[in-house]
Amino acid sequence: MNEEKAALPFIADKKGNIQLKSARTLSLNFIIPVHRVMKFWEGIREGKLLTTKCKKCQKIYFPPKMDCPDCMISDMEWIELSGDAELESFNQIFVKPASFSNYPDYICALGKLKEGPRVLAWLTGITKEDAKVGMKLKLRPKVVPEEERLTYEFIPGEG
Amino acid sequence: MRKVAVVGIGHAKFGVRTDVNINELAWEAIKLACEDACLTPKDVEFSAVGSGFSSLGYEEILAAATITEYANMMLAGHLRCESACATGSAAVHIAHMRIASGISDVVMALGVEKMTEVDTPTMVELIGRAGSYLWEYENFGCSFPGYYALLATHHMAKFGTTAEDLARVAVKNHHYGRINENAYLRNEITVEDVLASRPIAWPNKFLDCCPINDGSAAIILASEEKAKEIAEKNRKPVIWIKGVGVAGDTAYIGARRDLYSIRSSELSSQRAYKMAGISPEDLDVATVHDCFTIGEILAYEDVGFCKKGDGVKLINERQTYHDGKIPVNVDGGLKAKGHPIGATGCSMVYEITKQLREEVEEERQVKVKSGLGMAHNVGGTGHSCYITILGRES
Repeated sequence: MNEEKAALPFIADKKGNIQLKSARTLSLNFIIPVHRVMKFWEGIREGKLLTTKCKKCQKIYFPPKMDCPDCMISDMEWIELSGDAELESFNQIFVKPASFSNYPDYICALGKLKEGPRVLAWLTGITKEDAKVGMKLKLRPKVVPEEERLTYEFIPGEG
Repeated sequence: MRKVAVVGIGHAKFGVRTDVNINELAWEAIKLACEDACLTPKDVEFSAVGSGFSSLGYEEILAAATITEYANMMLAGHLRCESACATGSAAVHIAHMRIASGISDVVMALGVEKMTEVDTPTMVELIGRAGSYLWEYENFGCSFPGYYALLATHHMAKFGTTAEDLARVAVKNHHYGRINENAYLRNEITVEDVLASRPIAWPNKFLDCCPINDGSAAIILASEEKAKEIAEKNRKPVIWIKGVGVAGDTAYIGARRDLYSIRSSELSSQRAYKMAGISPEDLDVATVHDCFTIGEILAYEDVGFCKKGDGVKLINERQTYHDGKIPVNVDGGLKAKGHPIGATGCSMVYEITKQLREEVEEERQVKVKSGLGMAHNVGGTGHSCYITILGRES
């Protein structure tokens, strides 16, 4: 059987290897619980960046979580982050995952917040040629209504 | 704890293997490993199957069951294990524990993956989800090459590492891939080729990245008594597992101690050296996790082949070529062999065993002096790291 003769459900590749194209498609769309850290997402909607801090050991967590494994307690307080950060590293994604194929080439950055945590987010408002490790950044909340999506992003900061 | 030996090894050709399904691909390695040890599948008392993408990269969700059925070795018992890109090494470690503890005398670790039954953007999607999903992927789509690009940019800023330095890793690994008949990419490349290749996740270019592909490798481990029995039959030197080391780190890359090293790589190698009672200088050969060129540089530094920031000196001075101070990835590495996720760790142990037996092609055979070799296998971007130190006793 060669390429011309192969008819569905069979497919022949360039080497002439015959494969069966499955009639069953698997599509996954996860529904992810965020109930315990919903304050973070409410904060984004209100233009604020919040995260959690353990009331006992004072450790600031990012991503926010409601359990401190060091103290074995769930007594956490919500604190507001200034958004002041320093660029520690960045990339630019050219070959995109399937679900990001409709975005222009984007920059993922790691910024160290003044309060301590290091955050991964897109860096916008600057090209990769102008971005420099060590530069000041601002992390800001962002609502993307057309995609029904809440997010946050880095932009170049003052100084 | 009992001594554990590598008694049989098998390796399928890595590549886009549209000619075989997952069970047939696994069987290629199983058959070779059994023949190498003068055993049959029915002699195997347990199978640890390392495969990271069952029901995602290929159709079977219970791959350990379907593969052991195909090889008629299911009655002994099996499990499928996963530790991201270190999945194959995790299977070796489970097999090691099974024998060291005295539960079994002959155990197979099988690493197998098919990644080309789904389209490439979907595979890029699946691999990109390797992180803390909601905080790295949902909004930011950081691809897997993207994470290593973050490590590369930071290393460049901190130590002055250049794109040319990184390209030399790819040049070396392609050079050895050309000689290794199990490798996927068999072509020599130049630094200029790497620099001119298209960006994937800048600063990672196409030729800085290991290919997505299919493959399998099988490692049969045995107790001391059984190993000596097998050596009588196959007349091959017995290679012992001298040390193992495992460590983990945060899934969220932002929560790492720093961005210029892989801490799980440091910790796991220190643990393995301690167990084996050796130092990095004692090794004759190593395979390290070069999923991207920066990965090999980080490995040199993290496992103690040099100081932090000096990794590029090793490659620029050709110290990691087969006739250098510490030969690394002289089988082509992930870069030229390809990285069928679950198969890689077993492929590394296969290579170290072949080197210590002095069975590889002459052009890439290292000089066996101490008889010690190491397989270094990072899971994810440092989410885990598995080290296996092998030794040939004179």
